[in-house]
Amino acid sequence: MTAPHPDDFSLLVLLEGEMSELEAARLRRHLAGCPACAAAYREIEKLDQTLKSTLPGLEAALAEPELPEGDTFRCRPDCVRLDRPRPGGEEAMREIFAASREAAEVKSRLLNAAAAPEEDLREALADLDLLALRDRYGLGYALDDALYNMVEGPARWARFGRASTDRVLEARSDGRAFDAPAERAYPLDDLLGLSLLVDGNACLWSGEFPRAGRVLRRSYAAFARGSTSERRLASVELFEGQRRAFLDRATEALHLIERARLSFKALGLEDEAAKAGNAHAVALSYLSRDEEAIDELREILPVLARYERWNAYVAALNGLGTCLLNLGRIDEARREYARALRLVGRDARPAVHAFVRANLARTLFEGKRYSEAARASDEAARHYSAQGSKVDELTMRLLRVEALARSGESVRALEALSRLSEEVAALGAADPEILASLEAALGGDLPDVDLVETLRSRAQEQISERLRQAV
Amino acid sequence: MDAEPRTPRTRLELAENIAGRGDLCRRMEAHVRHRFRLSAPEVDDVIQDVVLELMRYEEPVRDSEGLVFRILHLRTLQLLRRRGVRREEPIEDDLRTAEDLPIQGPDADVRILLRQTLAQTTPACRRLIRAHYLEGKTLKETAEALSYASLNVVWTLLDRCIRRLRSVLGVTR
Repeated sequence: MTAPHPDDFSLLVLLEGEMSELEAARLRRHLAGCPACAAAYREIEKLDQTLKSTLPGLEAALAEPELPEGDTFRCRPDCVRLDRPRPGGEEAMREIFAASREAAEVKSRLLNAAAAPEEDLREALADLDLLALRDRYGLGYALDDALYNMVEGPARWARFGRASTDRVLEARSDGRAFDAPAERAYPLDDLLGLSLLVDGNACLWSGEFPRAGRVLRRSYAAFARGSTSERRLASVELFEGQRRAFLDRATEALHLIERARLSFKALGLEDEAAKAGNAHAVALSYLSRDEEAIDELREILPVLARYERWNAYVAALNGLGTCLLNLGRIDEARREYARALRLVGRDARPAVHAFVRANLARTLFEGKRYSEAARASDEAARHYSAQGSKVDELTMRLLRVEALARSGESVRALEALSRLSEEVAALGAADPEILASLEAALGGDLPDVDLVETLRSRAQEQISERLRQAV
Repeated sequence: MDAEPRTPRTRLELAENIAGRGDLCRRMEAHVRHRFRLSAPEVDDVIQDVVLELMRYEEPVRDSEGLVFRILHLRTLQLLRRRGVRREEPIEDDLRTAEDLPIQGPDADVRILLRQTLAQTTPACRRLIRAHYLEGKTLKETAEALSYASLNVVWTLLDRCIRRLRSVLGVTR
């Protein structure tokens, strides 16, 4: 009787010497008489050697723990539309390039509409012909801009993402959309994925985590149906990782973020990999692995500076400051900020420079170095004032008041508050009663610093709300 | 068509450069034929995929050739992972060596391919690979540690894992 052909796993068991002598002998006899199985055995041998030599450098790809069963992000979707018909010859490619050039005007119009009232935005989107490649490119480029500039206005971009999603879904319901020539160059599902990605990212900024989760899952599925671009899928994984970190699921976050980072590195997108590194460090910090987070952040800061990704740079710097603070290493945190201030020149990048100063002030405050925090917040307020950033300036001046109070300088705190109150009253930026209460809390032999903290926070919220609305 | 830009700066310029079938395109073709033994239609498909992917972004390109070859690489590996078949057909045109590849050698191909494949395998497969190749457990210990009721089920899952890895990694040199 002919022995059955062994499966691959059995061949591996044989190779590794884990088979009983009897079984092994029977299998070897079979291999001697079966060329196909012998060839398979040789391939298993090669596979084994490859795995032994390659895997030690790929531990991240096998990192524990895995995502739970049924998790949408458990495995990255495989390429499902490799056999999509391609656009034909030179003429078709020329049309694609022309569409991309013409898309600049569409993109510009959409970005302007994103800053306009909602009706205008929806009207601009309704005017798009999403059967046409030019308009698909225009919308796609505008959505990418939104992602890049998310920090400048998450609320605006959230609106843009949602309105774009509605428009793309409407186009999808048109039977012609998937047969249009444009579909081959820019799948509608990619546009859907991108709109949802913008929405999901904006939700992270606004703290709408359940919504972000739903939207990012849909985004992932849309890109999987579309071009299955590794970069796009990695972007979704990165945002989902950040979401899970915020929700105290930091271990899952690490897994997703690392997967995304490997993809960005494979594509040579160093700055995107550095941003992922920042998210990775945040997740590490949530797991109280601050030392590792610090090492990581120190590696990525120069990369972000080199690529002039200043928003991400400041975020990473803040992360570093927080981690050092967690470990009680305030002086080191101060040195990091000082280094950043030298790098980010006041004249070349005034906004970023001011932001770094403000975060230095906050770090010193959190580290209970109140006198230093008072000086730093005063400096930051001057820089914000020079730029006309009134909300940020007043926030820093409020912080200075509390810092002075906590450092025992009540008289100076009251003087600072008095000057601040005049200006706040003139702007109508906060209720006079709050500032009067703040003054009362600072008075007497011993200021009630807890009350000062509560009132400062309330005043800050009002200033932010009223003055940002007025802009 | 406009004259070929010497050094592409935007993705559009880069895509036009490739579509114009100049030197960059020829090197890309040689690379995928030499390294991955793709047929001519597959080469055309993958290169067009690269062009289309470039067009979907508007950002300026920092290292244009590096980016192009990386996208080409990943798209080719995606195709191979999907097809999982070793190409045995002879190469049709003159064999040209891919020169000045800005990135990586064959070992790096394997690393990337393996990483991508592992990202898409089942958790059981990854546990097998990790336990046996990184933690030094025997295959039988690993199989027993997987929390499935039937050893037959475990064996089938692990067999599928090894078969997939064999078919995917079998295409690289």
